This record gives sequence, C-alpha cells and structure tokens, in this order.
Amino acid sequence: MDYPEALSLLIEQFMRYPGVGRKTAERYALYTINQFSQQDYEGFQTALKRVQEEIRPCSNCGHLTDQDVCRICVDKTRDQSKILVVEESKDVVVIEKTRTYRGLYHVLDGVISPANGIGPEELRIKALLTRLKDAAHEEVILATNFSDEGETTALYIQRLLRDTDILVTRIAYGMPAGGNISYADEITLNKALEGRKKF
Amino acid sequence: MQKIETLELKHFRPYDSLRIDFSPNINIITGDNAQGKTSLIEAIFTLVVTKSHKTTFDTALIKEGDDFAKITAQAKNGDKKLHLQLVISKEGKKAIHNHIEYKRLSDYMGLLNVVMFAPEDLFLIKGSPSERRRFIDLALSQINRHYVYHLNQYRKLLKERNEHLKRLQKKKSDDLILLDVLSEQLWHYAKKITEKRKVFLEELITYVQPIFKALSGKNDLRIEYEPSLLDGCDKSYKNKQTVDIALGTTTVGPHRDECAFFFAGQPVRKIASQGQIRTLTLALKLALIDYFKQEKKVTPIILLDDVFSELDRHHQKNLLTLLDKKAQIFITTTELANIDVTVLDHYKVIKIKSGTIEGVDTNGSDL
Repeated sequence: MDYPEALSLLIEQFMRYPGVGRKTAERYALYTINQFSQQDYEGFQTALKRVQEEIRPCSNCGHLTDQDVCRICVDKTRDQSKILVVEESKDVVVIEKTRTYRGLYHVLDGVISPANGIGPEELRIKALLTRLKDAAHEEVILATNFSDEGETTALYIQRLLRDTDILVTRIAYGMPAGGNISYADEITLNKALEGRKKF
Repeated sequence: MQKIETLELKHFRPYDSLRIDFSPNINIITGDNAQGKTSLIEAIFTLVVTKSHKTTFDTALIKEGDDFAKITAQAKNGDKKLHLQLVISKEGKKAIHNHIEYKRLSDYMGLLNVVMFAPEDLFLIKGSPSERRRFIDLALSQINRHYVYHLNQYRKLLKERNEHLKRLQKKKSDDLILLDVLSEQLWHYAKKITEKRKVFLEELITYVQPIFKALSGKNDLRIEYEPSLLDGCDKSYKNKQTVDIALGTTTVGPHRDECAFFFAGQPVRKIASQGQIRTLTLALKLALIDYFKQEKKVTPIILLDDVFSELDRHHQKNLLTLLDKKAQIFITTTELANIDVTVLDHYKVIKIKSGTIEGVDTNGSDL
C-alpha cells in the first residue's frame, strides 16, 4: 500500500473533495500518471492557477465571478425588485438554466446549524440586509433547501424582515414535475397537501 | 402471524457465526449464565427495531475484535415472506429488506413487531421517566412510521437548539431571534409527538385494564400522560427561555415528559409493592400485544428474557396462559425446570454454550 511520496501527496489532495474516498482518489491519481500528457499537466496547472487568481465571490451578491461585481448584478435589464436567496453558487447556476427567473440573487454560503458550529454571523445574511437597505428591492424569495437547516435559515431571514415593507416569499415544495402521486413518499405528499393552491 | 424461521448471526456479541432454525411456536433457549442466551433474544429485538434494548451504543453489539455485526433472518408476516438484515459497523447501520437497503429506518421499522419481557422491565414503573418514554416510543415506532420520522426530526432540532442555548449561555451569541425560530421548528414536531403519545396511552389503557383486573382483581388503574409543554401552547418555550439559557439546554418538550400510573388515584411509584409493580408491567406488555393485534392486525413476536426466574409459579402460569398460543415465543432460562412446561403444547429447546448451539430438542422429549 506504500506509494512514493509524490503520489501519496496527490492522492491526499484528491481525498479532500466531497464524495471522494481513498479508493477513488487512488484511481484519479493513477489515471493522472498513466494518461496525462505534458499538455494535460500544463492545462490542469493553468486551470488551477486561473481559478485561484480570477475567481472570487461577487462583492454584491456573493455568486462566484471573475469580475468585482458579477454579470447578473451589473445587468440593468434584470428585474431589480426581486432578490432570490440561495445556499450556494451552484444553486444560482441551476436556477439560471431555467431562464424563467430574471431577478437578482443572493448567495448565503451555507445554512444555519448551531450543531455544526454555524450561526447566522457565519453566513452572508448581514450583507443581504445591507443590500436591502441600499436599494429599492421589493421582494425576497427564499430558496434555501427543504432540509431542517434550510428551513431554519429561511425562517430566520423571514423574521429579520418581518417589520419591513419587503415581501418575503418561499419557493413552493411538494410534488415534482411529472410526479406520480402513487409513487410519492408520504412526507412529500403531506407537504404538497399543506402547500396546495387555489386552482 | 409473524414468525422468524431462521436466524443467522455474524460477529454479534459472543457469537462468531451462528445459524439457527426456530419453531413457529415456542422456543426455549437454555444454558448457563453468560453463554449468550440474552444475546440471541437481543439479536431478534435489534433486527426488528434497529436498536438494542440493552444498550444505546450500537458498536457494543459487535463481537470484540471484529469490524461489523450482521443479523439476518428469514421471516414471515402472514403469507408474506421477509428477508431482513441489519448490518452494524462503526460507520453506522444498514437496514436491508428483501435485498434492498432502506435509507429511512422509519420505512423498515414495523415490517415485523416484537414485544419484549425482560428483567429491566421493573424500571418501567420504578425508574426514571426516560424508561417510560422509551416504552412508548418503542411501541409507537413499530406502529406509526410518521412517528419515527417526527421523533428523529425532533431530536435533530433539539440538538440544534441546545447548541444555540449553550452559545447564549456562554455569551458567545445574543441572537434571540434564532432561538425563537428554532423553538418554533421544535414546537412543530413536539406537538405531533405529544399528541400521538397521548392518544396511544388513552388507547393502551383500555387494553391494560381488563388484563390488570384478571391478574390482580383490581380495576382502578389509570395512566396519564403528563406533557411538560402547556396544553396546545407554543408559549412554553418562551416561558422557559431564561431558564433554558441559564442551563444551556431545553427544559421542556417531549424529551422531558412523564407518564404516570395510578392505583385508586394514588401514584403507583409511591404506593405499590414489588409484586404489584411486577403485575402491572406484565399487564402493560400483554396489553401491548393486544394493541398490536387490534390496531395493526398483527400478532407480534414475543420475547421473554429470563423473566421466569423472577416470577413465582402463580404469575408464571398466568403469563403462559395469557400469552397467545398462535404467537411465536422466545423464552430464555438457565434451567428448563424453572418453567412449567406442562401448560405448553409445542416447544423447541435450544441449548447454548459459549456462543454456540450445544443441542436442540423438539417438544422436550428428554433433556
């Protein structure tokens, strides 16, 4: 099981990724050694170097960007009245793909979970409040996940905005599109019933 | 009718590897002390409810020096064949039914049902309130899948709230809004749990009373659920907020509730004799069997761990006659002579010695 030092180091680096255990890391490392050409190595190194140097969170919304302020925030054609709040940058990308939402975003960088040592001050909640004070935003759409922590975070932000004029909404949850009722689990079905709308 | 046909153990407690066929009726497990009788019953219990009745540390079930423990059973629920498997390792446990892993334990629990009679039952009445909550939770978990889910969510949120309370206590945070939010979420599950427990006890008592009367001749038994949360009121958390912060823990909610028993209006814990407490525990467990039969339309598997050494002949006979003859029953005892086998029709005797089967005998012809 003893690899040469350089190879062990590479395996350990791969193991830092979520969902990658030792075995997968070994496969990645061995693939690198066996399959990478000189060009591949350079390409990989450049890619790493470039993300390190160029990518940073948007100073306004927190979404990852290569500018000081991201493309969404500077786009004046977008609906400035709405801010959609998500847990992480990946969620912005997913929602952007739908092309139905044309408002702004705010990335929290996580969820509230005291049991994991994450309080509201660890998240970009203050930054959200500052944004709401500065400009005329009318609606905050809470799109954190429907986990307990996501729900805690949504409820918390709702409480902070309770005494303002800002409309606070929560994305709907329940049945997936094309969902078959007889296949839905009971908990999802209960939630869907609770969140039913006038038809 | 629920029956376990065969049981296989791997690295479970003293057992390295064991395979055993059971009688669909009565199985008497004999052997000297510390040979593995209770462990065999514990294995059945653990397989069905995904946790042991003896310990809260799952890894304690793994045989010393091994990495995992595996319990497998071929069973039947009516005509339905079941293949159940529970794998316990340091990483956690996996519940597998018909070769499919159940990610939600709440979906797995309730495939089979057990009612256990054990020496520890005495604490059910005499012990701390947590013993009584455990009894209720265990029964409800086998009956209501939502209950397991709600209980798990509750425990998770309780942990979040307690962590936040600790930070407030140590002045690392002054965020009372977050405390409010967590209380509100906790309350959502707390009221569901409280409600279900209350209803369960109200239903259970109707089964307990006739049995208790048959055993003791008395019919003035009452059970009351005493919630620590004010009735239907989410202000309870608010009222206790200062105390909670000072102590750094949540002092109200289903995890602090009590369930009290009364004889003729007097609390049982204070007035009852050892004999009466024994009768009451038996009545409770027997009632649970009836409850399963009525509410779930199943006859649960009955486990009797070393209860006969504790009972006099009179109680023993009562118990054996009251038990459903159609149910599959497992009994452990050091001496076969402890049991009045004359009241039993079909039984299989399994003799255990240091984690292996020493002998098997059907209908106790000679042993």
